[in-house]
Amino acid sequence: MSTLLDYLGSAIIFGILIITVIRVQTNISSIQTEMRSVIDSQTYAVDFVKQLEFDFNKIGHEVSTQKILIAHSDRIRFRSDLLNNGTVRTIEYRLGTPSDAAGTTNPNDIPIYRREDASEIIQIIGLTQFAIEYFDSLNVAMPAPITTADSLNRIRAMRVSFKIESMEPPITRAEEDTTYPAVVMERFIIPRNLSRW
Amino acid sequence: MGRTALLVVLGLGLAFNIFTYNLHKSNASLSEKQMDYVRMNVARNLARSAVHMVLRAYDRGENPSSFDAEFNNGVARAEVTTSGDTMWMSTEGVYEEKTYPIELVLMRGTKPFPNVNAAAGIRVNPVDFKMSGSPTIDGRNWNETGTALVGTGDLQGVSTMTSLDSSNVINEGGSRLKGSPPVKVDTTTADPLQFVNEYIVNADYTYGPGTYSSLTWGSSTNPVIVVCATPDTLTSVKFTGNVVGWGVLVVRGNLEIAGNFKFHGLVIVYGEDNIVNASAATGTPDIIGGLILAGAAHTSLTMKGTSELKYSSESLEKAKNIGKLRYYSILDWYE
Repeated sequence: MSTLLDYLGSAIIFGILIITVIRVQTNISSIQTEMRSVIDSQTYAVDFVKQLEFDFNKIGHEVSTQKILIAHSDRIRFRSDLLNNGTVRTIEYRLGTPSDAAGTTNPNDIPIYRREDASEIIQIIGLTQFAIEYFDSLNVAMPAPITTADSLNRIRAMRVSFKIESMEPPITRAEEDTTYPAVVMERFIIPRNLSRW
Repeated sequence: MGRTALLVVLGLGLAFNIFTYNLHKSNASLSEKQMDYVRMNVARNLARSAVHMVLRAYDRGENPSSFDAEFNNGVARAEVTTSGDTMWMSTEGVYEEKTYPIELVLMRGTKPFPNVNAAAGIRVNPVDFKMSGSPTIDGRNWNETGTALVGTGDLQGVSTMTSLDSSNVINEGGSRLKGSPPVKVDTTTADPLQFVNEYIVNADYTYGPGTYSSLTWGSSTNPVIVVCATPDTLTSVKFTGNVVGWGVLVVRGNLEIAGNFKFHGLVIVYGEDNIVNASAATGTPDIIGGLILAGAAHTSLTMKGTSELKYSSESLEKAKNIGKLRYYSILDWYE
């Protein structure tokens, strides 16, 4: 009888232990997935801002004609010898639509297209907000879109701000709780070649 | 049973350790990505700081061809070559393992420098002009030391605003006036009020009313800005023995020079709406460069003794290139 009670007690304790372990494992998995989403968002954000700084700091390099061709709040086209090899290219950034990024679960993310001359790539990085503000030599904001050549030539700096969310939601208990970890970044860039002769 | 329990506990411990390791690894990976960007930013700031450090060195007249400084736990380096007013610079910022290079081309300009159109440019109508003894005003182009003629680039000795003043100056000066021609009507003499504030805010030396001697202002390779001001027409600034200077001398009010005063560069004597007097008195005070005199009607220029006022484009060119009066325009920038 006592042996039977020992076995019964052991089984109950073991069961409780297994259930606890399963719950801990589930929580850890959830945390890992969420952390993975955060890491991915932040990684994309850092890589994206590096790319923007690489391109935007070189606006107008070795260009003697019109340096900025299009200046909208969500689109910019400019010319530059990006690689400092004597070849001036036309670079453009423009946003897509959420349907262009239908492959992700996040319904708000939009792709950003980067075109360099005739070659265009689509970057799906969880971008949900993207805006460019333009400033003149007195640091006064210029309302976008800027359309005239004279006004385009007055641009001396720009503030780029964007928000990147994870493309997949982390696993949560409630199915309707789709929180996407996000990273917001802002950069004020002064392309030096815009103020040169 | 006991062994089973032990195995279960060991297994659980191993599993938790694996979970914890993975969590830490994720954290470390994220931190490393962020820190990499931070390092790049610091290196970039160092490279940009190097540009400013070099330009400030040039402003101080140091002309470095290379630059290397430790700053903010990193290194800021620069290599510079110049040709005339064009400057090619390569800078590099190094922070931990990150390096950020910048290549740029700058043009050095000079903030507005007045056009000196004569040894003595007079922007007064009418001017009270007096010469006694053996002073000279010479518009021929002398070298920086005033010891030899250059041979080209001669200007008029005195420029006046009206033909009446021109006649009076010729009558007063006679053969003591030299130049090509000795006297000429030229209404383009620069108005000091248009540019003098730039010199006032960048003054290296300042003086009020009084008598000063035994002074050295700058040198041939390091010209400076000297600013003097008298609050009214009854007081003056007087420089006597052993005063030597290079650069720009600005006097708002009355100026007297005497003894062996010698200034190489541009002398500006002006009054905003009052009469001012510029006089070279006893001794052998010399100005080698140019003089601009401006003020209300009957502002005077008096020269006595054996004072000399010689035009020198070489002196004026050096005065124009005072470090504080230079600015830099970007011709190209790659980073």
